[in-house]
Amino acid sequence: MQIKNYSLRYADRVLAQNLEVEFSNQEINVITGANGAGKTTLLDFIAGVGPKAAKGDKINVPKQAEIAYQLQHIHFFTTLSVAQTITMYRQLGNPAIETENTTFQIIKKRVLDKIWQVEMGKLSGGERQMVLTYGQCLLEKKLYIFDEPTSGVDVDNTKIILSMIASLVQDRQKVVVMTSHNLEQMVDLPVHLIQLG
Amino acid sequence: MNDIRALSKVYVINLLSNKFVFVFNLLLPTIYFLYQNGKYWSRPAVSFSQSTNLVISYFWAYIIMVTILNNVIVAMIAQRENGFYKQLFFIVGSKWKILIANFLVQLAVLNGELIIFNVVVMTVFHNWHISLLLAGMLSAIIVSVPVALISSLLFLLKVKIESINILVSILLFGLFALINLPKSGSISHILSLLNPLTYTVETSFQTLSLFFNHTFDYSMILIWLIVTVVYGLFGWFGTSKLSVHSIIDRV
Repeated sequence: MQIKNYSLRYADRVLAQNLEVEFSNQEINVITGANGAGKTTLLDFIAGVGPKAAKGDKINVPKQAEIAYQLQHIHFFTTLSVAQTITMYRQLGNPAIETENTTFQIIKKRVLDKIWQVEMGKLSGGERQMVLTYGQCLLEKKLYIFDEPTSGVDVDNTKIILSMIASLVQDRQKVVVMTSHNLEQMVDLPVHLIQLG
Repeated sequence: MNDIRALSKVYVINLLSNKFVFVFNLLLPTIYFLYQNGKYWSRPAVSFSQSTNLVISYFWAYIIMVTILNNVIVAMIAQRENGFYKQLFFIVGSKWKILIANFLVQLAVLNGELIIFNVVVMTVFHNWHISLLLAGMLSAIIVSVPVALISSLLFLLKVKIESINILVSILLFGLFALINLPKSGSISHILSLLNPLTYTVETSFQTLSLFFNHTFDYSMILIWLIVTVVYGLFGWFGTSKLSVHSIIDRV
């Protein structure tokens, strides 16, 4: 999967000029850069919902219906319990992933079962992010995009979230693109770094 | 189909957490109906004549219009603004699955509201007829798709979510003000039906007349079909412009 000639210009600033990016399907593609460098806009562009100002060629990027995209800090249906949220993801995705993948079985038992009946709106930001990442990983798509999945998440929950994301690449050979400011959290993981700005 | 079913369950759970909308959609018109027609409570049974059918049609039109505007259109705009819609779009991979799931849940809600309202009507009129319940459900099913489609033009508005409720109230007020424009010929009839409230009143009235008086204005069918196609075209345009991007915030 590649992006070629990617340019992003606003009236007063140029955020990208003929950028070329080749994404790995063996490692987690991590886009990094300063605030306002255009990381989320690049994710939007890949997902086909970028602004008109973002131009470029997409090569072998899956169709929108085959992309799972987890947004940053979304208060997703706060009245749903964790159980109801995960049930929705199971019905929309592939529930066999949970039974076949030990990473998910462990996370479900050690983490999610404790908050299973709690409403999403009553979870901490980190717990919510973990539940949504768990759910996203149950979907059966070709490309998985995560926008700052570990932003504001404590060390333990960060490890859990990153282990789920890594399992997409390592166990299911999926293409994963994510943004992050905290590269030190990913030293043990196979990472393909993409620097913006 | 499984995706729509899964999404519908989510919308039902979400809906049950916000019961206040029923006050505006159902409680207010029911109270107003009782205020206007409470006098029949102490009188003998009232038969369903053309005049009672017309009164009932106006109340149904309000309930249908307000439910579709608040629970389908404004709800979708709110979901777009807070990022739910974008998140859901990339979970299910289709705009239509989200719209259909939300619509089907609200159609069920609408039918529930009309059943409750009609039970109140029958209680006040001392006249129990299953036909009233069936006519209400049939009217809701017939008009809700075209009305939702024409209302989707609101997706084009670049206004804050805080302003959209005020705008919808003004819109409803305007539609009610224009509901009884004189109809002197086919063209003016078509134009009057372009008001979705008039369209809903007219369809409900014809359905009630068919059920209770076995009469139907066949000259209406062509005009009704033309207007329905126009609603469909506007709806196709409005929904095609529904973007995942919030108008005011970057999500």
